[in-house]
Amino acid sequence: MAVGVGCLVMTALAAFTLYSTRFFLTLRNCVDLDGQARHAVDRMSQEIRQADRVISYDPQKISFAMGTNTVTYVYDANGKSLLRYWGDRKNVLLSGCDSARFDIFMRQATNAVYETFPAATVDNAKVVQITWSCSRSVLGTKENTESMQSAQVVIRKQGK
Amino acid sequence: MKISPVSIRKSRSQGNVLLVALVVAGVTGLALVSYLSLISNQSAMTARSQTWNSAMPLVEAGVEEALAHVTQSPDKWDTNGWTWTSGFYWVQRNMGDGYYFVTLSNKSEPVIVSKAYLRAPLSSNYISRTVRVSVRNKNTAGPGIGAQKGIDMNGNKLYVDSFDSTDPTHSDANGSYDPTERKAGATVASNLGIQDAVSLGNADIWGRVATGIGGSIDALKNGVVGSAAFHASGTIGIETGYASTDADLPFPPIEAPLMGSSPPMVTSGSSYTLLLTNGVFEIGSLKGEIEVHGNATLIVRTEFDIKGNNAIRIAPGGHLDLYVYASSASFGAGSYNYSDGGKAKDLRYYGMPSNTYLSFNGNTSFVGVIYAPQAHVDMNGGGVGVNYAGSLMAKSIKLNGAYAFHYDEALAKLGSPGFVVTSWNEL
Repeated sequence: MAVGVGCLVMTALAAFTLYSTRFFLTLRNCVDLDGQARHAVDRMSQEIRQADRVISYDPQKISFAMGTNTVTYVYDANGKSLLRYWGDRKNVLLSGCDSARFDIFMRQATNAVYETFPAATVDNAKVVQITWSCSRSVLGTKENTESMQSAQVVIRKQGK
Repeated sequence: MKISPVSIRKSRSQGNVLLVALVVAGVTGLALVSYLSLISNQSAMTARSQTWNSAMPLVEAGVEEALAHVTQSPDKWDTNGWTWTSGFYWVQRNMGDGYYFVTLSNKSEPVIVSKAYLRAPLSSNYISRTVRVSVRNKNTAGPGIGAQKGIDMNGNKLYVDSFDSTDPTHSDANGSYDPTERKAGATVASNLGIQDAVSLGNADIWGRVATGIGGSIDALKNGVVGSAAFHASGTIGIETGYASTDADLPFPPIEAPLMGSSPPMVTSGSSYTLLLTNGVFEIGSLKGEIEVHGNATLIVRTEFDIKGNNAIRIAPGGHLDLYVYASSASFGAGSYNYSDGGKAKDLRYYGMPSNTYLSFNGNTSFVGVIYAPQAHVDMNGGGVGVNYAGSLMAKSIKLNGAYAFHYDEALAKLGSPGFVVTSWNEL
């Protein structure tokens, strides 16, 4: 009887440990994704706000002139990461990134529509939209550990 | 006394159960404490992040107030609650749970430093963010003819010169262009830094020519660029010091009113005349003439195609701002703010991003300012009448025929209300 009860208790304990470990991993991943996204948005929005202009653009790579320096954000699909280059220095802003893209817009409102910005070229880009989706796996599944973020940032500089 | 072995076994068994229960409770409690601690930290981080982000609108509120202040009181800054202290003007305003402290200095090119303070979550301390913003008077009139891309002046014999509608010695009695009082203060400038960014052909330019860094000017054929004395000398070519590669013209975004009311009009057969007074008006298709009495704004949505002897008449004291969304706009042969001694400052055309083409056809007499940063402008015909007096800023420009362009230097002195941000740095 004691062995039976012991087995039951041990099984319950093992199940509890398993589920709580899984739960903690999920929670840790959520916290990690949240913190990583917060840091990335903060860094990128601060730099884009004070950039002089967009130098080059494609949906997975965008470069800004900042005084005499250049800052570039690149989505590395193979490495699943969003990278920031400041001169020769490289930082990983986001890891475990399933997708990321940049879009550029002009600042003026579209004809009779409020807060809808027309598409832009490098020469007249004033609004930059960043969208990404990052995830983490727990025991091989992505359950509840996906984070999608999107932000529109306006380059504040208007003239010279 | 005799102790029963059954009761000993029972009490041992109860002890084991208690031990296991304590271990399970301990593990569960530890897990719970860890969980609550993680959640608590996460919550604190999120709250702090929200406060950090909320500080930015507060910083911008300070910048907005400073911009509104320098716009409203460009010469007198110690008004509206602003105070002068040791080298700068400052004001502090409370807003919600925080406040901003903003300073202003340097009147020629104002520098704004805005610092926002917000109370940190669950703390009596403040989180602060600071931004330094440099601004400059907004002037969309430009230096004469200005373009982001190329300028092509390969017409028959194009003229670009200047006059000053506020100076009686360099304009006629009404302040209009007078060829006998012309000046050499016009600039033809392209921001493009490539070979032949500006193609002059046979043009006579009374003033300067400039390209972007690394750009060059196409070799003149029989044209002249330079001062009035250089033109008088009969020399062909570019006067020394009158060409440069430092063009860096600003093309700030246009802030247009969102909508307006339908304008009153008088019809005559199939034609009509809009009668604009003080206010903001809008129209889908503009094909008729315009008469302005007062300070009017007209938004044109889909079509812009006007012509006529008095296509745009602005009564003395009147002013018209045109915001054009139509993809293509055409000024036909006719006069636009030319009759009645109109001034260029009183007719301003703003081409919105969707306005990508603009043309002048025939012998136009246009007196005004065109600012169309996304439009290519074709100027065809010319040779008779004043053609164009004012200033022109566009994406790219081509002058054909025998077009004459007269830059009104008064526009540079007047500027236009408001400021544009020239640098923004978070400190």
